[in-house]
Amino acid sequence: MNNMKTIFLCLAILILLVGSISYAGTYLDSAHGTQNDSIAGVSRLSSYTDGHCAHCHEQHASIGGDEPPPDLPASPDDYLLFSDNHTGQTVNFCFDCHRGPTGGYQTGGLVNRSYSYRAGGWTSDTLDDILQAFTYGPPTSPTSSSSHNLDDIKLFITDKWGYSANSNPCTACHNPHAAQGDPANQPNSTKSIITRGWPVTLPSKHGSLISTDILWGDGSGEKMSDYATGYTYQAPYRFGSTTHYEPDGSTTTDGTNLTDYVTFCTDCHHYSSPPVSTRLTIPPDTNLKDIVWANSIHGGEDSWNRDDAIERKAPYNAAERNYVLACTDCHEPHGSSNYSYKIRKVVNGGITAVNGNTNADWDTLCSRCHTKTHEAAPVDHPCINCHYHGAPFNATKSLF
Amino acid sequence: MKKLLIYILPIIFSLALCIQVNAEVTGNCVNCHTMHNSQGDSDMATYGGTSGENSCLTRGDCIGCHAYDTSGTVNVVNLIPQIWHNGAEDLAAGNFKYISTDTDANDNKGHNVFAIDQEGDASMFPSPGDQHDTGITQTGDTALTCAGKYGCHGDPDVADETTSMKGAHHADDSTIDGLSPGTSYRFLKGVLGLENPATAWQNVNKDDHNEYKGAANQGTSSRASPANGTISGFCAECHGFYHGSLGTETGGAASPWLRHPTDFVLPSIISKEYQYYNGGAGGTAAADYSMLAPLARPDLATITSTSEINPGTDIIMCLSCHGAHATKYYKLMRWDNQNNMSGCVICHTSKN
Repeated sequence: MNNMKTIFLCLAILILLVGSISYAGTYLDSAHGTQNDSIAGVSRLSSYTDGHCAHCHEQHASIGGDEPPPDLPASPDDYLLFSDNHTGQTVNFCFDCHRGPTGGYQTGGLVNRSYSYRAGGWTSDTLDDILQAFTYGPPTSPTSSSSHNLDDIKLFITDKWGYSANSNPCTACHNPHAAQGDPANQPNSTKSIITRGWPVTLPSKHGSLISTDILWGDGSGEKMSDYATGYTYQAPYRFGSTTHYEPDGSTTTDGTNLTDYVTFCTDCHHYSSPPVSTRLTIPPDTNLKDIVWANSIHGGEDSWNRDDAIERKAPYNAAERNYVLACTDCHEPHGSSNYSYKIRKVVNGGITAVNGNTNADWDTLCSRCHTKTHEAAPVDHPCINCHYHGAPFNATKSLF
Repeated sequence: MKKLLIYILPIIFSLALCIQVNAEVTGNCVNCHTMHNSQGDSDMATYGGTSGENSCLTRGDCIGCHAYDTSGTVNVVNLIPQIWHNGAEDLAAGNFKYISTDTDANDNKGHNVFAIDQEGDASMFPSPGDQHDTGITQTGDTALTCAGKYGCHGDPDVADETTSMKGAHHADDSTIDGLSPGTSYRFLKGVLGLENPATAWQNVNKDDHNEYKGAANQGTSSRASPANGTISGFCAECHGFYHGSLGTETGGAASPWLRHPTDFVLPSIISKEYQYYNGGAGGTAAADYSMLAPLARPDLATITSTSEINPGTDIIMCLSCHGAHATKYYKLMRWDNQNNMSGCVICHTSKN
């Protein structure tokens, strides 16, 4: 009988704990909120402790009778932010701090690295801030580089999933009150198994108070290994290595340590109707390609031939499997100095140089994993002319 | 004997309660007034260490009576609430002792009534968020006073602070209707509220505190009239841009706010964190009234439980975050907001 009482008591405590966890706050666990006192968090004003809401939100657009900098124009801003929320590709509230070691309002500056640096281990990458990543490509740079277009994102999310016309496009991917550093406050370090954090939230879960919705990638069922159930996720090599893998430099290869970025990205990139890109200037083809990853060769679809492993490079040639890739295996999330589509500068352990729409350029990407290449002569046919997201089927198989 | 006590005790308690609820002054005139400021060749207008003739023949000015002994340790002297004292128990509005030492660091802990402590920062004048041209200045005849045109209490159309309070202490304030200073909450003309019935002048706990009037919209206050009779509308007389419905200043009537909303119903919708106010169960379920971040009431006559807050009904106000006179914290905050967000998370429950 006593055992029954003990069991009942334990169950009751468990229920209470689970109940409270379900709606627990996450701000203090976030990078802005000092990530459990492990880092400084937001820090703009000397009069408030690190991580305090006042660093970003001015309750009355005034402190000490004046609006503290930046105060031009000296007027209150949306969501009580200390400056404009979003007015363009390079004028965004987040960039007031996420703009490198100098020039921002975060005390001591703020360095952020590329995915190729953090996950890919390419520490030669000199990119050191988010603003710089978003200056790649149009509308602020020529088409020799690329980045997510923030105005396009803003347009897409408006009136979806709780977003409004006033929402900051950065919040399409990041919950500023929950996003964690990965790793936190170690700007010149790559990801490691002991420093992981979870920076993104599913766009479709924006504003949800349910604890499992607040971040994406941190919970069960939210890893690439989960997406790849029935297939094989194979982590690419880290830069210059054939023994350590993305994203954390460990020997883990099955995606149990990688956020399910397919589900994350296709929240928007497999939405009906698809996002519109202002970079695609020829109507009616301004919609981004619908990415149906389950039907793609690089996704859930079987390979063309079950014996073509010989045409792939390590670590994808170990056995004939139905490999499924993560979006971040090839793409930067913010921007890339590569021509278009945010192709990473480092893929599967080596450098890419997609500087234009030529066969030779695209070969630097495709050949990171494939041995087979197309001939350029007599006509220069870039791989991407046929092998692109959403490419039509050839017989029964997708061309991508 | 027991039966006798049963009959007598309720009468005594009722009398005590009436005395505390009703601020109407009783007693001999000489307790407060002097005809010639002279009695037996001695000055009579000496309350609070002052000496001189006062308007309305009073024996002291505001500070003289309500800061009678600034080094004393009691917060009520002869039924007179002491707004500046050296005791441990602050009144509901706080304690002006926190600004009384002349350092800039202390200046920002309260309203810098000139007679108590001069604000050292000129940028604080006119009052921050001044929408209605208060004309309050750092020094001189238009410096901040307790009452009158340049103060908070009394008649805002009368410049002299004592004269602005004329008759207020003698008014029958058993009904707070806001029509005169004497029948307004805490002599704040036009403001409605319920003064603490149990422990006079203090907010003690969730069962024992003042009740503040709020409204579901900001309205527009003027320099001499609080919108909707609310305590926040009253603050807006001097800090109008922080409260009013002006779209370019506050954001209008809904998100995205440009400044923190007041006179706005705490949302109870299930997609928002506010439903869990102070550890509540969510939705419109009642939660404990928080002394750290209290809310105002839409209708003072229909409060179902003074110890509870109802999301979806009760209202964010200026005093949800701030003290009225002075607190021990930066910017008159109810909590040490420079070093923690303990008050913020009472409403912003997912930010803990």
